[in-house]
Amino acid sequence: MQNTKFYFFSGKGGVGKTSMASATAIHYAELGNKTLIVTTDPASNLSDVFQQEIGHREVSINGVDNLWAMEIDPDKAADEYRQRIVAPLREFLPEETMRVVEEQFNSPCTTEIAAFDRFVDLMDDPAYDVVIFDTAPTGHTIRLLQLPVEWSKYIEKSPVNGQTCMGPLEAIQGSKEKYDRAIRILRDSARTSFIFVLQPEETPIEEALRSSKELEAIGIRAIEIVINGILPAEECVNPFFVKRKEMQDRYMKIIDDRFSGTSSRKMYLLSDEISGVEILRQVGQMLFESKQNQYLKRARL
Amino acid sequence: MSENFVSSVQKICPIDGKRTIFFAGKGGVGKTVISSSTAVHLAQKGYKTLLVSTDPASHLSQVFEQLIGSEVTEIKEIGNLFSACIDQARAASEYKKRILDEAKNKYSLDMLEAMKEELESPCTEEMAAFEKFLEYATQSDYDVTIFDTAPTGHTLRLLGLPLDWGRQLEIMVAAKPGSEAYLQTKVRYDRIIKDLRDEKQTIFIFIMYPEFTPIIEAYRASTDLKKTGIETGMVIVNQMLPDEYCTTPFLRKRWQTQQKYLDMIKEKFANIPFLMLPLMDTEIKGVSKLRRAASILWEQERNDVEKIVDLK
Repeated sequence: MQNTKFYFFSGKGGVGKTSMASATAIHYAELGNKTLIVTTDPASNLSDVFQQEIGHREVSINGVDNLWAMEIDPDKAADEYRQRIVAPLREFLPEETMRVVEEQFNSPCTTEIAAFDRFVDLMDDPAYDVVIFDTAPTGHTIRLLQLPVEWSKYIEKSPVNGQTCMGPLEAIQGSKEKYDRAIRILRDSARTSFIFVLQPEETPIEEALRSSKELEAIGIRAIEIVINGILPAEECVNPFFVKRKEMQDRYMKIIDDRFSGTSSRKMYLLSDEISGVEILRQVGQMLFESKQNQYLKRARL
Repeated sequence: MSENFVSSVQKICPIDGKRTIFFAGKGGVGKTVISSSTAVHLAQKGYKTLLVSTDPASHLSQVFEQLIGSEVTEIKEIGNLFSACIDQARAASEYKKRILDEAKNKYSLDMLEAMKEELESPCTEEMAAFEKFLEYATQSDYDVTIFDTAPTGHTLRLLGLPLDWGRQLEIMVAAKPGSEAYLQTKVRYDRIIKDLRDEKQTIFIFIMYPEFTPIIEAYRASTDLKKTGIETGMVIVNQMLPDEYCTTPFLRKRWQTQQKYLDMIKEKFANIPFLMLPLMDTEIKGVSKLRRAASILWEQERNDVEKIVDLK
């Protein structure tokens, strides 16, 4: 993978984004980079993968130097966002106006916006050398990533004294600069990498293609892929698995063809579950040092 | 046939007139394939069935190998089967138009201008999609309506929406509490929530792989649903490795891990009927594969390797 500060993992649900993102985080942390892995998925499973409690605030990961993790809780983020923007207005706005403002902040989109706001804050945080985002499933991610573009338009369009669903205009005007900066970082291939995780099956491939096109449409081109869940040839010794292997081989060719020119890595199916620091470290070695065979042999013993 | 199987099959059929089925579970566990197979099964039994996707990145078209868009489309090869994907952008523009048309004669130009600005907000799409979902959920043309829902967290937020909805609507169309428009909307949303909670009308089915994360996520989501008064009606365990083909130590290890997690499912979802869909030798795509998956899942057909002869 290209060395950038920000890594976004994307792909259809269930393809192994969290595992690949976590293994990548351990890899960079163990190279001596102060690394943060963060999820914006409301149904996150970082805690399960690292086998330790991970919450709305950064926690250090046991057994790995230089690694921190956090799960952004959209509801808590929304509360904080409201506090930050609504509370200061109370001093100079009449009671009735305040009620309208508060009602607007109960909109379901406030939660989504607040989570994104938190995530932009992390992109501005100088404390880390590498920040890895284990993003929510594709359709949702794309909309999240497109939001700053839409907000910028929206902020420009709003009337001077207008109320918006994001809150009173004056309170969010300052956000425009912040979101514009976030978009510039997302588009800058020297700073940001997008990694699509997929499996050799039709739907994950189609979805990765569709998402990469959507990203290109908003000016993001630094895309790499990780092909996960490949059946090891030596295990496919009966008709059932031979047939599944043939299916995978067919899709491997399609991936080669559709993503020609895109840098790619392969990750084979393991006999063990990917959970806990020890196995994640080995997955990291397989991804970054091509240590597949040694590990597979060990797994079979 | 086991009691568990018979009761599972009965649970997806209409009881008195109508049935609404929701499939929930972590992304990638096979919701689209299982909801499509279930739709095929019920349509073949003679129920007029509508299959709706609320996922912005839906792949119903790929599974049926036929274009399925935001208009209800008939799946001709099956008969009795209709399908649609909610198109968020389109739903949003219809929604904006409807609200502005309704408001045109009621409010001042300034007010209309303000509403127009308000409707440009990115939240309009999410709300419009939900409106569309309600439209499908409340129609009476079908015996069975199946929702291939979006991934878990998103689904829960979608279902949580009506609670805040009155307030939203009040801002959007300036319908004050107590006004007729407000009351009508409130009555409508209250009825939807009531129907979702009524086990005679609605069933929530959780799909999962026999792996730690999908089980835990389904369990959390199911607990969350229970808090809103909705019980989980069934569990489907997908991609069970076929015992007879797990012949190497590597595959035996994966098989044993699945058995361990099957026990965990039985413990976490105790007393809830569950079915298993084995991993098949091909992907489930196209009408004939969907028929095969439907008969394995809902009629306990054997999961044989197809056309092994072809390999030689």
